[in-house]
Amino acid sequence: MNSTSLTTFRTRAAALRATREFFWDRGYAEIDTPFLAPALIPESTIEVSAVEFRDHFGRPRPLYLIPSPEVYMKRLLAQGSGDVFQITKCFRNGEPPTGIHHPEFTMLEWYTAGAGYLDSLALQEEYFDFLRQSLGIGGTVTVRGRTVDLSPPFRRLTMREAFSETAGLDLEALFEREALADAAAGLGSAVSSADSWESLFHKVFLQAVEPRLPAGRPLFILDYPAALPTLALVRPGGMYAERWELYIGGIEIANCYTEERDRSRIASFFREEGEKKRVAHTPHPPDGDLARIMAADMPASSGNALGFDRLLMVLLGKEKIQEVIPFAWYTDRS
Amino acid sequence: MIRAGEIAKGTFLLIKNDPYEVVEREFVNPGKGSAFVRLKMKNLKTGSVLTQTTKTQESVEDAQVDNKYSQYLYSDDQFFHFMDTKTYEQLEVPKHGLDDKKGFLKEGEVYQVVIWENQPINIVIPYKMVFAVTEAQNAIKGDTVSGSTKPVTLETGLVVRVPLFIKQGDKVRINTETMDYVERVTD
Repeated sequence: MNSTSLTTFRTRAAALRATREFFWDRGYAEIDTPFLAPALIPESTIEVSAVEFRDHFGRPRPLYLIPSPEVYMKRLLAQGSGDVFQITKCFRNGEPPTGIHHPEFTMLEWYTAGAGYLDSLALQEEYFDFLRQSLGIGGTVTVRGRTVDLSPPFRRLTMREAFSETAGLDLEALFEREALADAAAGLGSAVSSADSWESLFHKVFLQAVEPRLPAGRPLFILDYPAALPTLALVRPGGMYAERWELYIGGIEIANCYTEERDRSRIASFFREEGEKKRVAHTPHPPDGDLARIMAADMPASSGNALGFDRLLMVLLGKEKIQEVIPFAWYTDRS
Repeated sequence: MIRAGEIAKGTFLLIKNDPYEVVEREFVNPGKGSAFVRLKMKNLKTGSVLTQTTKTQESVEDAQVDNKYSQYLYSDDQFFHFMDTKTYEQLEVPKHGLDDKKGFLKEGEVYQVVIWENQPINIVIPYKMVFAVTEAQNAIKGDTVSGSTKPVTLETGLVVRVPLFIKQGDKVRINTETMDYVERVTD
């Protein structure tokens, strides 16, 4: 490591300390849960890493590295932990070398009991500003060539507004699969009957919306279509889920939900995603107990998962995530 | 067929019966979404540019092309003229849509000419190439505003930025993708 990276890693340490201070001061309990789990929340969009564990008789037992601490943190919430936060390593497999992915990365995840996604949004803004000032970083940064004004409040757009402002498309008119397929094809993308609604949505979003999102200030995108399979609370009416993502300079930093607690919605998420998971490179058992616990015992709450390395990358004006991760090994070939 | 995740810059694809060259490839993994690849491609018949977003798992049709090592001879209004170094056959590459290649073509130099359905359609420019500097101004003393580089003209007419010590008649190695100066070359 050269002296530049040593400076970066001292800043990283200061950021970890400031983050702990922020959440401790607000009464959040810090927890640290295991890296290994016998079953996970099935998410068809994430590939996991399996670990070979053997007991003292030499019998193998499959375990999986957590792609997020959600699987344990929601259990704690259900046991009455109250507000909790955690800074932990997470592991994801098979992701492309984009400069913003690394197979082992650091996640800041927090849950607030009795809160909704807009409460988390306010806390996210406050945390970001606290961290920025603790590190003595100025009001603007350059993120991959784009100048971003970091002063709060951040910009807010609903997904519907984002579609209309960037691409002139009415999102609600695209809730029908056929209309969405036409829109994707109209943008030049190849479309087939094998495309799910999620796949078509992202073909449109990634081609016509995301590259044109306003990047001059940090941006919250709120209210995602309920048809995207997540564990975010579906609003009455069934069209939208209470979810936001934070983008800074075009990079996704955090993903937040009001947590879904409806038993049948949770059960169908686990069933459908679990089904898709069977053809994953590394299939794993879905955590059926958690599905039951989430519906039965978890209090109304909001959870946010924040890519800590990406946040640092943005604050320090680094081009690649590897520059803020000590001993990063995954190179960017793109 | 080729899996979209394996497509790289320079891959040739067939879309609605037209050959395309991939000029930009970007992986995108949206949160809670599948893995996608964003492609920017150039139609080799019309020169028009197409962007497409595809799942990395999807298969797309690649164009079956051959590459022929050929010596660049000259250009006229319509074609770049080459000679196949093996068969001495003359190849005519239509200039349409390939304007950006002209600055890299040196008479007598060997390139790979891309053949699709028996038609020469494209030229592969090496990643790094050496050019003679034909026009360079001497560095102006005390000029600190423009930093430590200056523009020079190369033998093909291309203008690039090089360090101040480069003189007319020098040879320089250039990165043909970024147009960055790499080094001075001494024979």
